[in-house]
Amino acid sequence: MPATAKLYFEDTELGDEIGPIILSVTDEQVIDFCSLWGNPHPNRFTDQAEAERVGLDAPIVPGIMSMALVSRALTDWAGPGVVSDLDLVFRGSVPHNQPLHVAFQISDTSQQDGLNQVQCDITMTGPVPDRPYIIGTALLTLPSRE
Amino acid sequence: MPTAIDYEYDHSLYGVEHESGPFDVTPEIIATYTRSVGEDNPIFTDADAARAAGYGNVVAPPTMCALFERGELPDIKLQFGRRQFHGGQRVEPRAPVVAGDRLTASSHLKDVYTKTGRSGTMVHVVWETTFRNQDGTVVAEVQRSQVVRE
Repeated sequence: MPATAKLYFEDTELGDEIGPIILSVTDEQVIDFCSLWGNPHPNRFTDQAEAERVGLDAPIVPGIMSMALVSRALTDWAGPGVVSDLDLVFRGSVPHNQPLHVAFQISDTSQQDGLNQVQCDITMTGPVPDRPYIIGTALLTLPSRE
Repeated sequence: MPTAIDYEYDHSLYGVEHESGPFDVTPEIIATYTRSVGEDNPIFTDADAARAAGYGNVVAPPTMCALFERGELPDIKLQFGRRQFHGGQRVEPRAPVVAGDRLTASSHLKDVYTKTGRSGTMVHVVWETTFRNQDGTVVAEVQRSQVVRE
């Protein structure tokens, strides 16, 4: 069993709902992320005036940072090193400094060729749950207790 | 439903690989990345914990490769739309990336298609990038979908 395991295949069941895991992102975190990404402050992700200049109400969280937040939530739930595929659609602007609700639902499980895999549907929403910022799927490869 | 595209763009980009890099995965990049997204699992933040778990050094979180795409892809010269946004992203981690790795990227145009919905027609431009480490091992496949609208 991997030393880092948090979730085992036997702990999962089709239909299981996980979360919401509630996250938020500060302005400073977005500035740090953008600096790594070669997109220094100010830009539409970090600055009100730059955001308004491109038609946004406020600075938003970059898509690849939102993906990193979903990945973090998966790690929080299932442990590190288990994501085999993460496929996200960005449906709405993800705001700074607001609660972000990340939820997973297991849509399939399989054991084949020695791999224990779990497919999850993913949503990230704000206060209005039926208007997701992000939808998507993840394929996790989990350790077995056997 | 996605449909074939009626708008002009540079079809000669299909089948052409665009190489970029190298990208050095430093402990500082991983530390800033993990801090900015609140990723606090010890294998991502502590080299000793990572080594105890069987990795060679502190590990990069699974979607970190996407940082290195950074808009170095060619313009497809699409004759449509003025506004664009990041419509989707897919990451398939294939092998661990650890501090000290040196990555290279090979990208190609995967697909261009239209979707028409309540807000009008949108063109999706999908690039696929393969990241390899210094040993030639594929560490991640990344797809990025950029959406262009009227």
